[in-house]
Amino acid sequence: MKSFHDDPEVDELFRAVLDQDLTEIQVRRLEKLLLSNPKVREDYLRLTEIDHFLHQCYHGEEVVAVVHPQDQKSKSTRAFWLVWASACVVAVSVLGALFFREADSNALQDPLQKGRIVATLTRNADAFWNQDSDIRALPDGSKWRVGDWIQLERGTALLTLENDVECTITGKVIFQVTEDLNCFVTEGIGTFDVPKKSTGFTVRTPDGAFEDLGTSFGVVVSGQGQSEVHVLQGAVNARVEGTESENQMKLTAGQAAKVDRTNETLAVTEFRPETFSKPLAFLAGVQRLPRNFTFWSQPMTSVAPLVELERLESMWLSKERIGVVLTQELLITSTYGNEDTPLEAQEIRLPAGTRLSSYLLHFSHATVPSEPRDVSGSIRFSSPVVALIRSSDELMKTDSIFCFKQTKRDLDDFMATRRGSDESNDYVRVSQADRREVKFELLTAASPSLDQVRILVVEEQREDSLNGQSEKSP
Amino acid sequence: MSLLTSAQDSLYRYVLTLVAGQHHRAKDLLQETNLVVWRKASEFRWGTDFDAWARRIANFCVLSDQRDKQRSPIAFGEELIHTLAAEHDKHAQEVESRRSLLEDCLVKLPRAQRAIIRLRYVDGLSVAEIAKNQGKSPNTTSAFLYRIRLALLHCVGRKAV
Repeated sequence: MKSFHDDPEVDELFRAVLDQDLTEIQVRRLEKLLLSNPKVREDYLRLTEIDHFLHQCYHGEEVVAVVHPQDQKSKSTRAFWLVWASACVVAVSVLGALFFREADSNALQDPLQKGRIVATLTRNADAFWNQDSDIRALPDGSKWRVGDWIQLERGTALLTLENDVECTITGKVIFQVTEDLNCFVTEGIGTFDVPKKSTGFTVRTPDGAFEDLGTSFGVVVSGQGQSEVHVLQGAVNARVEGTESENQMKLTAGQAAKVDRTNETLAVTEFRPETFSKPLAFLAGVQRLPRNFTFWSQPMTSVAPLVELERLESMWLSKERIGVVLTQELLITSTYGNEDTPLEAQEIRLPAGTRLSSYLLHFSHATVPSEPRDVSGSIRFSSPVVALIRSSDELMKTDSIFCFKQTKRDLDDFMATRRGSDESNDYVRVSQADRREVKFELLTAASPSLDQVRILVVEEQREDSLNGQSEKSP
Repeated sequence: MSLLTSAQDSLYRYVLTLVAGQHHRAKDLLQETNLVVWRKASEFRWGTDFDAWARRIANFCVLSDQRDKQRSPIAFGEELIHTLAAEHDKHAQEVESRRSLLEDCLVKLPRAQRAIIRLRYVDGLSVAEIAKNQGKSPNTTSAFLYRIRLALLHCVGRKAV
């Protein structure tokens, strides 16, 4: 059986179709033959059907892909999908078994896992995933293939895509990486840091498409599929999905837009970077923030919380200047227990050249009168904490070192907002075990409690400098 | 949404025929079609043929894609797309039966042929990659694959009679 059709040219063209190797000249020739000859058309349809049947092992997963998250929220629908997905797996398994009945032991591979790898879990914080209908943690280095649905249930995770786009997601997120290495997000919050070589990377949502023009940006898709884009750096071209070019909008850093699905238009909306607090904090080395904390990824323009921060929550963590390098060895002695009865002390030597990052932790807002309130929680960093600076004097002395150089210090407000007393039972301390967690419990405002603390952290690439730490008894 | 899900298979096959068998384009277009169907779901009239309605949307998506020549140089013209779309329904009958017959036919393939089909369709290797794997020329490999497909096609045709 060497020939299918009387005309060898038709066979050659069909082969090119099935091999995915059709040239532009061939497609024009095939088009002409298909239009002029009904028999060629019929053969073409039969052959593409066979090709489709054979491809179905892989394509089965994309059928699952059309599930909209709204539907997934319905318990009954979820049950339907589970049954449906199970049926697909069974069907695929049966087909696979038929394929390889006599084959060797490694022949029965899961056809659903056969696309190319396009996303890798780089790191995560308390991330749990919906994986094969099971909610579980996945190790860093886990991989997803083209068309896989990546479903984060909770926590935060950084994924690196094949084109080096860094995608940080938090909370409940459902998305996939498509064949062309773009993303399709159906629900959730994510930020996308796009390297120059991948300019043009596009995040599509049920109602919008946001194309990178050299940038980092955040996307929010509600459970109803309504989307917003917030440009953190650079620029983004936003458009309503499935419409013509007049519905496009170019956005630059500090701008945001949302899709009006009713009118199929884009509308400018308030830029709210705090929406992306958790992804941005994660990228800045903060693995976990308390629920009611905001992360401010840009350095403060004032050490006192002035106008720019009034709209923020009263409790926040801000990254200060990074990359402060020690010019000489630094010896730090940490005492645990309490000052009267120290239980244990740690002595840490940081060699010259160690790089430190600085964060400012803020518990209240001096310009907004509020009742005193108890706050407690913990912040986890991805690298060890070197020191906490928590008295007014120490804060002021170190401002000149760690503050961003454009940061102003408004001396009129300074003392009022920089109480450094911890006379009460308030505490802010570093976890003893791995020194990556700052725990606090205190009374804010209206009481002589701490309201700002500077946290110094070893920059991740130099954290091994702590390996030489030694312990001694009190 | 369940209607859309159950229509996926036939929609994909439909789109595949309109885009000269290019699977990657068919997948993209199916995704686009799904998005449009999802957005326009409120316009669907219950009681009418959902598959036909979804195919019209798919047809629109394919045509829209086709008009963008820069994006898809390997594309059929509008006239052929309309012609193929009209003939598709005739071939859509008894699909499940043919699929089942194909499974029977696959079992009957010689081991070497099943192995190469597996490399192409399960492992997703290109013809050039299979050729390298097998130590043969791409042209020989392509011809071998084509003969296997024809064997399967004829087997299904014989059993269907």
